[in-house]
Amino acid sequence: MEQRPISRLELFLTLLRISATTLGGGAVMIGVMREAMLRRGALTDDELADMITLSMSMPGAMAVSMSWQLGWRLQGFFGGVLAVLATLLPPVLTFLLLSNWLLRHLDSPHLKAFFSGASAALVALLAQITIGIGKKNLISLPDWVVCVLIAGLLMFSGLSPVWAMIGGTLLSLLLNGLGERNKNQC
Amino acid sequence: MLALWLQMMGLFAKVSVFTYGGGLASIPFLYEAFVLQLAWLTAESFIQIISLAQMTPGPIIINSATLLGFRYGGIVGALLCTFAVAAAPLVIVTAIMVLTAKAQGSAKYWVDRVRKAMRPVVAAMILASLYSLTKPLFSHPKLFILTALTGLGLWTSSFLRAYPQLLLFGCALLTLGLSFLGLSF
Repeated sequence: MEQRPISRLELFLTLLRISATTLGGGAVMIGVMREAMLRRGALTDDELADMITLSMSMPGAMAVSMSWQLGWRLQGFFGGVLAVLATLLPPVLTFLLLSNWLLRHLDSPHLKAFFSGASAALVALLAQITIGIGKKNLISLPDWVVCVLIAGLLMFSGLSPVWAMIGGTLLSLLLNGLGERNKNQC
Repeated sequence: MLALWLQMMGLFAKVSVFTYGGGLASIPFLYEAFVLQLAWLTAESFIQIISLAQMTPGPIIINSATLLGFRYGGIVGALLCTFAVAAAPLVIVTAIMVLTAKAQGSAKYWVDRVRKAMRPVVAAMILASLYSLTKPLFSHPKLFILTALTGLGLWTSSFLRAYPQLLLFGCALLTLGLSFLGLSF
């Protein structure tokens, strides 16, 4: 795929828009950023998958790590700084401007209704993101086994994400390694 | 004031580096620091701040840094705490970015292999966050109508796939409107 570089201004404005309008947390933000970069042909699916892996496997807010990597990869160090600023500005401004008003109305049924409606839509959006990333990240049978097992443990046994990451990666190395050996022998 | 700013920056840098797996994981650390150790907040006002941080757009940990920084250190405090909480983990991320880009030969082979091996785990983590987002909706099953409509929109329209936020706000405004008609969600 030919890569079209993206100007610093376009990068800044795209991330600013995404950050200002996307509710629902890190995974949703990352998915929306991925979609936007794919659509512009700025980065390949493979590069994006590596960036997502690093964002999710390291401490810190995922959306910030992701925009840092996007900016750095596309426009160098200053691109990274701009990208992080674009991601941080909208929540910081909203927060400084609205926090007093929101604190007073925290128990309002209308505010609750607004966020319920948003979260109902978010379920569909995150499902679409999950399918997109799943298609990219789950290739072999061992991949599926690891994904289902780790997701199950995260959801139902309260496995901590650190151990999920370490254990899941080791298991995946082991199973994929075995699979490869079998293939070579055949 | 300077000492206070530095203390808070250090605290937030530490919390964000030791927080792993999404913003919710940072809550116990912040509770420990602000309610138990510093005793700047009561448990009640802490819970209020966290629910506010969850509601507003942006990562929870960034929002709590902005709010707590603002409350105790004014606007400069808010900006400094936000900077600390965002920048500290980026040091680690950058180190890994640079090191993995430099890897060659068998080091590169292993970097690629481990990266690929992590991908199914990443998929699992996203699946788990989908689950935690879906769970609260089961107490209001009628909301799943909106989920289905959003899904249909995303599936059929490439415009909506490009701007999914329209669907988010569309659904949010719809339930907001309905709440004024006396329906509760």
